[in-house]
Amino acid sequence: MQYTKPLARLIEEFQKLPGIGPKSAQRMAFHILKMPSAEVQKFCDAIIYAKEKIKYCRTCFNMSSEDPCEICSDERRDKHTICVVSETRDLIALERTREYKGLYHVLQGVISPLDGISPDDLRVKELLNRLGSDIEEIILALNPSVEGEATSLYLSRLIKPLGIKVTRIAFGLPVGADLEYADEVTLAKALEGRREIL
Amino acid sequence: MFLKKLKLINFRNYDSCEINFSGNKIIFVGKNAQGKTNLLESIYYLATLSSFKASHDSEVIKWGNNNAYLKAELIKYDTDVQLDILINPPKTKIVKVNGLKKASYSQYLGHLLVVNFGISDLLLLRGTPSDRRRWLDDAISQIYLAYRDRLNKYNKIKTQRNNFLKDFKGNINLSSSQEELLSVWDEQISVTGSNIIHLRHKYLKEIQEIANLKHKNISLEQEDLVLEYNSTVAGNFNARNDEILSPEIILKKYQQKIKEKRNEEIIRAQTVEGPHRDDVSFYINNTDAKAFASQGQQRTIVLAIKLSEIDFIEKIAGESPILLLDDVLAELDKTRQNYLLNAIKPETQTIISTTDTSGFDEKFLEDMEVFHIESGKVIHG
Ligand SMILES: Nc1ncnc2c1ncn2[C@@H]1O[C@H](COP(=O)(O)OP(=O)(O)OP(=O)(O)O)[C@@H](O)[C@H]1O
Ligand SMILES: [Mg+2]
Repeated sequence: MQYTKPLARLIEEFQKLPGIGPKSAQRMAFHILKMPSAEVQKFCDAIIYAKEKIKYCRTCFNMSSEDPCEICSDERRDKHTICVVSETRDLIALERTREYKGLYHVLQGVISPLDGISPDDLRVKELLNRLGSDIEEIILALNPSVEGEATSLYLSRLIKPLGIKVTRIAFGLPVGADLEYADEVTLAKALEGRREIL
Repeated sequence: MFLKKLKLINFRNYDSCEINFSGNKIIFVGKNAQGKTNLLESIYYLATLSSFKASHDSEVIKWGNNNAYLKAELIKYDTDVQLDILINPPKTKIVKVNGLKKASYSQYLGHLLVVNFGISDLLLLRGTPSDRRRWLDDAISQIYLAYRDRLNKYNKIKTQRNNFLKDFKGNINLSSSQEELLSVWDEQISVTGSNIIHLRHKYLKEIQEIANLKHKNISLEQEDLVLEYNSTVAGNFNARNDEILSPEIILKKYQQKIKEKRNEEIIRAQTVEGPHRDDVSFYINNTDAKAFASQGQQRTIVLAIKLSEIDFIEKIAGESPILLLDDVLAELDKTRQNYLLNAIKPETQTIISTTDTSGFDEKFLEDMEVFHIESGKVIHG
């Protein structure tokens, strides 16, 4: 038997989400149908509200409801250091360590020819535009995946000739591990032990 | 080490199967296509996280299912170790040691150590370079635990790099930003590739003289065996006479080679040289055995190499690996069969598969624990 159309459509939508296969999509759809209508409404509102409210900071491309974002506009932060991450969620992981006091730049991805992502598809130009004389250090905090490493290497080749110190964290993280999964202690250690790229 | 218990769910032709081993010498008996090799494959997979015959993980999953599960309980250094694997492609498999999930394969590998010797190994010298690389890679990944992660990384870089090369559509005149990006991929592939070549050198050097000694014994002192690694980027490495090249030295040669091959790589949109194209040669009294040795001589070489793998693992791990002999005894003549059986130490847990036991000595069979295999079911005794 086939699913009735509205149900099939709901399952289909869930399957578009990352990491959701047919089985989980089905489970979620059935769960939603069992929820009280008011709860379903609240859920939909939350999605739409978040989508409307959250923008990208035009300086660092962090997701935020403000522009410039809370971090860029915070006077107490060290404006001489920029930490480069691939996604906002990595920024949040680093913020949780409470060790880092500088600014961020969110690339919104990493270089991956396989997925058709080149430097032009990332916020690389915008990063280079930020590198005035007040910037002393760039910390690259990209995942130690093949793509993250390629991106780090590429960025360091662009930035080093400008006479800015380029360092890199994510040392000590297991190979292939995502920054997202690294615990706070590991990240704090990584920040401490960051290394200059040669 | 000693394998106590093996459990398979939806692996090859097994629904669900659990085997308890009490002896050190085990034999699986059954007609063709009943699942003997599949059982040995499951043990091998638990040790190496790869199959000795499948090229994709999905092949080992029972048809019509989405995932397969394997479990081993072993005794190692006098304590219990439990290994679990969930094979669930296209997701990366979940691997656990003593119930704890491991984030990288290198943290999993090294607990269960095996040496597999099957009929296809007898054809190692007749086979393709890729067969020989597979043999080498599987052997090395049990010894140098980060090797499997390195290989995976190398393959990922290669895929990305090939995709990038495709973008040029054969046009060898690159813009400066394209040059910059390509040089990033060049650097990554050459650094990772150099480490792989270095470890292959190191491994061959380690087993060279052990293998030669075994080989001399089987061939009755007449023949001298030398292993050689043939790298497309770093030249030939004679495991007896040459010094192991450091990763840094290999890297220099590698980068030089990449420069030379630049145009060819762009035109073919492919990474044309590197450890994925390398090979191993075997010399008997200075003659290339792949081209000139008789079938019997080639088998002697393989036998010597397999026995040296056992010795080397034992030397490194301090305990004997588990030896898997898939159908291979029946394929060897009496002299080589006896040499092999006598060379296996009593403490080496040995698991043999065969279609019939009539070829074996009564005496030999007395000490064996026998399991009958019939269409994916195991019957003790
Ligand atoms: N993924 C799979 N799902 C279900 N069955 C499979 C799968 N892969 C292989 N088989 C079946 O397993 C059987 C082969 O088992 P195996 O190779 O272990 O046989 P064997 O007992 O070693 O035989 P032989 O004595 O010929 O070597 C075949 O019948 C094959 O169809
Ligand atoms: Mg078989």
